Amino acid sequence: MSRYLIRRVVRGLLTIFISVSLTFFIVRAMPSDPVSLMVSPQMTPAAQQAMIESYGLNQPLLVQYGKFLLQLFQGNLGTSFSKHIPVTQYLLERLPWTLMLLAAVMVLVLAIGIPVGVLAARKRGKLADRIISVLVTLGISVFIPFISFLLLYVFAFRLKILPTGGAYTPPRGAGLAYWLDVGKHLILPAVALTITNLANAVMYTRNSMIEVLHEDYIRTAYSKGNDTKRVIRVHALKNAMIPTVTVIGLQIGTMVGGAVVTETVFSWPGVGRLIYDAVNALDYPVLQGAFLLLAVAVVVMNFLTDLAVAWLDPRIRLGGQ
Amino acid sequence: MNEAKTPLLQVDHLSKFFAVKRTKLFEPRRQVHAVEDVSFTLYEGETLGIVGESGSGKSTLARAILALTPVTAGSVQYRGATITDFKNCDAGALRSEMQMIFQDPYASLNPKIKIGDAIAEPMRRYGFAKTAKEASVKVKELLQTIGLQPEVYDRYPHEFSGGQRQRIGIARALATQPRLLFCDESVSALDVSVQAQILNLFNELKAQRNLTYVFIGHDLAVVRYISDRILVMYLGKVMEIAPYDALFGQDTHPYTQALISAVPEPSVHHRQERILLTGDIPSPVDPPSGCRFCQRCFKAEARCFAEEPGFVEVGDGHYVRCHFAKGRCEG
Amino acid sequence: MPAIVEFKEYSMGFRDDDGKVFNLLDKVSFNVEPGRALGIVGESGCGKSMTSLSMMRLLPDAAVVQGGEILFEGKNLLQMSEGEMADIRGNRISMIFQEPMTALNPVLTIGFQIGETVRLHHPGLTAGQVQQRVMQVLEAVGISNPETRLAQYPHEFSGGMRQRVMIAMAMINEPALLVADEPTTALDVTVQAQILDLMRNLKGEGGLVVITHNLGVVAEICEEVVVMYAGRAVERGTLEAVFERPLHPYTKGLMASIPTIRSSKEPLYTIPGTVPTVYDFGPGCRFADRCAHCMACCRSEAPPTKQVTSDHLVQCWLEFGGGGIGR
Repeated sequence: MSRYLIRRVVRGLLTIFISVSLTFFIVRAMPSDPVSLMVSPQMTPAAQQAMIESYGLNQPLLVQYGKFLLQLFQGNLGTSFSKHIPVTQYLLERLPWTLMLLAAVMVLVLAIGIPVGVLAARKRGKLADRIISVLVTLGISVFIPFISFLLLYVFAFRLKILPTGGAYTPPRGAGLAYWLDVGKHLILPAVALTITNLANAVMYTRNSMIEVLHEDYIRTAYSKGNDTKRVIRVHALKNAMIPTVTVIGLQIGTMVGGAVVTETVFSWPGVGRLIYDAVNALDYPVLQGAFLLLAVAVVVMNFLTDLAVAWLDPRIRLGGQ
Repeated sequence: MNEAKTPLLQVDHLSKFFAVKRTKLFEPRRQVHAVEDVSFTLYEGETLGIVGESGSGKSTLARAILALTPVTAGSVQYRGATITDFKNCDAGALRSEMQMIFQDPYASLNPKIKIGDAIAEPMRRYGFAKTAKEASVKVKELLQTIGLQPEVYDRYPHEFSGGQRQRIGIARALATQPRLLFCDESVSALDVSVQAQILNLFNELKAQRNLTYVFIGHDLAVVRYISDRILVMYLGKVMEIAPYDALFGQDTHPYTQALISAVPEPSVHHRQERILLTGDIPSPVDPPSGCRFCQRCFKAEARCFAEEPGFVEVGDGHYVRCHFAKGRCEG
Repeated sequence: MPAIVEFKEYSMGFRDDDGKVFNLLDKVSFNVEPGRALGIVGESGCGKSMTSLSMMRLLPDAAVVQGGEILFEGKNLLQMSEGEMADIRGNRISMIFQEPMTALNPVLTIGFQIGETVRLHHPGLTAGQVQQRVMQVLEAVGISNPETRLAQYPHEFSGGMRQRVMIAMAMINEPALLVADEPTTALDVTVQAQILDLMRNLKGEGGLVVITHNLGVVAEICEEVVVMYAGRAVERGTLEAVFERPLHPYTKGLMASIPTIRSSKEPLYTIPGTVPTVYDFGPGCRFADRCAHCMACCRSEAPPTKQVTSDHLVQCWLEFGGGGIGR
């Protein structure tokens, strides 16, 4: 087990390092540069040159890379070109909101997806199964901005029971009232993301449950006198959940920076929006910081997913034969 | 009694080990001793049976000889030339002369390929048929030899029963006109009545085409029926080599005696006291010194745990690896 | 003493995708007596597994019961509710399956899985009492160090040990009937001998039904035999009667085609042809196409059962003087 863990950690660190380095070079290979976006036609060439120098963009690429790595190991991610604040601070302001949103989405996806998947498996081929399939496919096919705006229109504009945007209604309060307010603001974006991501959870659970229900040990469970409810709950579920947990874990990992559209529509102050803005401004330090964050998020989620699967399946835990 | 027999295959001190994947941080590297120090001679025209239970290494031995897995130590000679791992020799010619028939008739045929094409493929690959037309004719002849109608050329494997698929597997192996056939548990997955048909077919083909067989199985009754000589394997090592009728004497290896005793006979007559071995078959990972069978042997003494016995010749062509075996020259 | 299980002209079949029902088991009848072991012998497609699953009412969804009764201690199992059957399964009738490698749930401990059988049928027992019972039964089946074994998972056991665990699970509630479906087929020969020995010792006063294709296994532990072919019980009786004086051409053919340790090297006898599938059954005897003694009446009408002696019955027209039923 210890060898397994060490190998995973080393691999994770290597992944992060390579991904950050690749980002560094790719971002600088893009046509245009951040300075030309900030420069106004009135500036003299000398002033422009001074600006370039102040951002350190005139130095050779490898020197810039070296400096970047040095700063990275010191925990310094640089300063944003467009916002002029330290990148670390900028990221850490936004990260908790994204994590909160994703945690809510994960809970909803698993809490709804797994039971629906189990239902579809039990009623395989019958009407309920087909309806579920159709609904779930609709969910992933629908255009995210469309569903987001639809939710906003119905609940915030028409019914006026939920807020229109942001993470809280200013001024920033404290205590229970504050958290309830945040909760209210969380509902719509979480629901929008859940609808579009439910498909995987439902279909994986359904398919793996169907397979598991054909296994010999399910027949043994019935032969001992278990009824269907117990067979599913005690014997089948843990086995069937393994592929679902794996897929959802990986999915969530990639959503850290991927919920851009949702965050924009709902004005949710998360990392996705941050990346969008940084790309537009060619804000190299922010981009590098953000991609470092994404790489770390994916690696950490992979690792946590592996641990969850090992908890579910003792054969992996104990190095099965 | 001993006609001059031509040795076809010579295996010397063949070993195949697999490394065990390490799970803890600082574990010494352990090996699975799948096959260890196996030596025997296969004569032309005979059927050599290899019998053993799980972990005995019999399937791995066949694969190592056919270079389907690289050998760890030892050598294989075919008609006098060294062919270990099929290196430094004409692998193509060897593959067409030595073929294998597998156990699972359901898994060993590609479900997307027509069976006629599956049999024609090796024919064309090794030059036994130059055109598709020629191959088609030869395949249909072959199908008739093994007891199927030539019209089934265009059918797919799922349209056949287990016994028929096994016949198709045999036809595929015969497509390259081999001299030596390895049958790896080829009848184990078949129903009893079908098994009898396939065993008869094996014997007919042997007589018609002058084949030599290595028949691997775990059912001692079946292996004894079809073989001229039998190799008994346990945990990677050969415990006994004997002509088929010498297996029931008193001079046999204790493991052989336990195996024979364990086979349930379809008869109502009372048997003698059954020999029941204790425990399960141990793992072939890093086996202890001494005789491989000592932990479960009913005759075991201190010497067996300390020192590994060598082969003792107890009769004509009959060798037993046991400290208690009495050589021909003794007492 | 009344029989533990009585099959009375039990028939069942399968419904295919178009809704058409094909018969498999046709009027199967036999008894299992207390303290006696019955072997159901046959090859693939003979319906022996369906017979055993019928006793537990664990048939697949496509199965259709077409007639007859299965009496367990006098009551018809086919008419019981699902709840009543759940009470019987694992408690009064237990089953052991063929593949010990896959018959146990890989993510639950052995202790949990065996204990579950007790908890389901004796909800009043405390956890400590359940554990006691589990350890007792593990010792009875020859598993040493039961305390350590309880917390282990199936993949940490070998094939023979897993089969012992299955037997422990089946025996723990002291059922009146134990059904073993090919219990030793997936095991090595030396391990098979141990398991058969164990089953023989544990038989006690209940009934034992062993389903197998291996005549040697039947001879080892059974006192009565039912030979099945293509869904019909073509011959049944005591072990001596059926093995020493087989009457049905299929039984005779089967016995002649098996090589034994002492067989000669002559070509083995083979029954020509292959087993018919459910789609090929005709109105007459299902063995007709392969039988050397087939007569005209064999193809048109299924032979009735003839009681040849008090402990030997067979379904074959040859026993009726070679004519139709009118003779």
